[in-house]
Amino acid sequence: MYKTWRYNGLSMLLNIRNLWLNIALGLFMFALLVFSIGIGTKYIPPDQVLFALFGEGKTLDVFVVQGLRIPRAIIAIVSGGALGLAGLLLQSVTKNSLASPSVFGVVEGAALGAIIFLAYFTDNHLIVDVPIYLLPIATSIGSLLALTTVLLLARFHPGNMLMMILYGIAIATLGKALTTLFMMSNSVYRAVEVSLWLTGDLATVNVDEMWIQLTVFAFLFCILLGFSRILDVLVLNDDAVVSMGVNLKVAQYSSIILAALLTACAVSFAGGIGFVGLVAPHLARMIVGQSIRSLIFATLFIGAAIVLVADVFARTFMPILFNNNMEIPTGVFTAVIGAPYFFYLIYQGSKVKK
Amino acid sequence: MQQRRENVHLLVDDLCFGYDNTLLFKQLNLSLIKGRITVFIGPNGCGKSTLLRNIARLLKPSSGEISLAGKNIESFATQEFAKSFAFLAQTPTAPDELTIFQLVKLGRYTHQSFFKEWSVEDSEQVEKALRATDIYQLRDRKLNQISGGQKQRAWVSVVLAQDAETIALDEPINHLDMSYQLECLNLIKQINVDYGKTILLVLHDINLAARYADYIFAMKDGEIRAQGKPADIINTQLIEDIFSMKSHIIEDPIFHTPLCIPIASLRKSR
Repeated sequence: MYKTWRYNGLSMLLNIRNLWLNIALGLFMFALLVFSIGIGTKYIPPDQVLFALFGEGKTLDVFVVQGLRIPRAIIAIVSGGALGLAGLLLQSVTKNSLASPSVFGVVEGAALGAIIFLAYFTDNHLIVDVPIYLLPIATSIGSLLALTTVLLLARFHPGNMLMMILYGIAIATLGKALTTLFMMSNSVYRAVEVSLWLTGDLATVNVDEMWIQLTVFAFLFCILLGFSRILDVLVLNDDAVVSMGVNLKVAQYSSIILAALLTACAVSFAGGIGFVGLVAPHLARMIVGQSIRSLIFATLFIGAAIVLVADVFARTFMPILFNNNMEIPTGVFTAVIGAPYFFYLIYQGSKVKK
Repeated sequence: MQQRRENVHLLVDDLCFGYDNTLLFKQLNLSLIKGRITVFIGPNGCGKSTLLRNIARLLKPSSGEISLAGKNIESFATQEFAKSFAFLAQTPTAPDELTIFQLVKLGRYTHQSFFKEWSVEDSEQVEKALRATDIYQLRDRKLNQISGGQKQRAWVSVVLAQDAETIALDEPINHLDMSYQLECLNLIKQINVDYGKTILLVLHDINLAARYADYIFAMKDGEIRAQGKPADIINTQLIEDIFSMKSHIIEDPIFHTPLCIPIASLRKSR
């Protein structure tokens, strides 16, 4: 099952079964990507999509694919991956299988950060005064504040996983309420679009945003990979983690900060997409088991695939069923899959405890 | 006691520690020698686990100094300390989906780095640890597919894979059936003999302690009340002092170590 790779003092232990599974998941995600780019008001067959990717084929196809659909699909993939990985980190560090960015109010915290940023910097002419690429900083602060509040409150009840979730839900509710308050009481730039964006919306993304998000995500992902060795140990109980030679405090704080930043990276561009961070790590664990590096890649692919598919539904649901051009926010579809799964996990958890 | 200074492997010097403003240890001193099995015994709440957790750096002393091989344990980097001192705390937990191999592999954390995650030494040490604990054949089983005794052996295997010179185990045989208890202690003895590891143990059972220990520290109320070889210190007086129990001590007919026969509790019932 394992294969060792050694070269000049460098060495690596590969789980061959998981490697193949991850390659399969990656290919599956790529196939989904090609199909999803083809689907829309103008259908483009997969082979034409591949041509258009490289600037070949009909000019209109190239414009639709490169200018409109790719940014949207890539942002869907990166956001889904980032939220999934944030969920994986939170589940590892809290040892709570119900932990995830939306359950802990991190998504709402990020959204609140974004709204305050937009409200503060929108002038009387409804134009944002500062460069929009500073938005991720505001969402990062929001998500970090929400997450630390939940985890600090949960420390009053050590070992009580349910209290942690309850605090998370309370913070999420508060975040939502404050967001609405700021929306109503300020003139916010593109207010209508923002309110849609809050439930997770990819309709307004463009190529620049895609590149900013890709860069930020690539950076965070590298840190996460470098950090994976510690995450592997972090699944043990605290005493054992320390005994293995891990600095527990440093490991916990870094995971929390990384999870908050990954969430912010997704929310800044895709809005409040919920439940991906809960579902993706669970599915990944079912497929590749507990080995962390395999889990990181599997979670990335699965999270990406979920949001990609949800976004295809978001784009096509109303036009196809009701023949109208309205789009439903992507977050609505992830919640439709995720919320029942959340119920299922709570039900399972309550059975285990008795 | 007065052990010669140059043989001292672990030294606890004027250790003070307490929970919630009440001091449990008031200037506790002890020293122990390399290569032996040292067992801490005493009633619940006497501080034996707390002492071990102070030594393992899981708790921070309020004052005093603990040194390992002549070096203050505070001065070790976290990852460095784990190379010289392996600690198995009470009731360790790991996810059920983890396989034995994946668990024991984690014991190598302190020896690995990002680009050196599976050296020849890593694989040799893990294999050695799995074989020593006799779970090599089971290495791909998940933790929810093995018995409690096998799980405990897997955890002993983790600290063994860590390849530290000193190994401390806090009540490793709690919640194990009697045959598993013997199995586990025999394994620890074997590790001590075969690999020359210095072993620190916290045990509840005084007779098993007497059978396996080279040296015993008997503790009560955060103080060391007696120390020495089992045969030298275990007597009815000590048992009465430590455990508030009337007893009779005979020589174990098979192992020739002291055997304590409990007679009656002397604790005043309120």
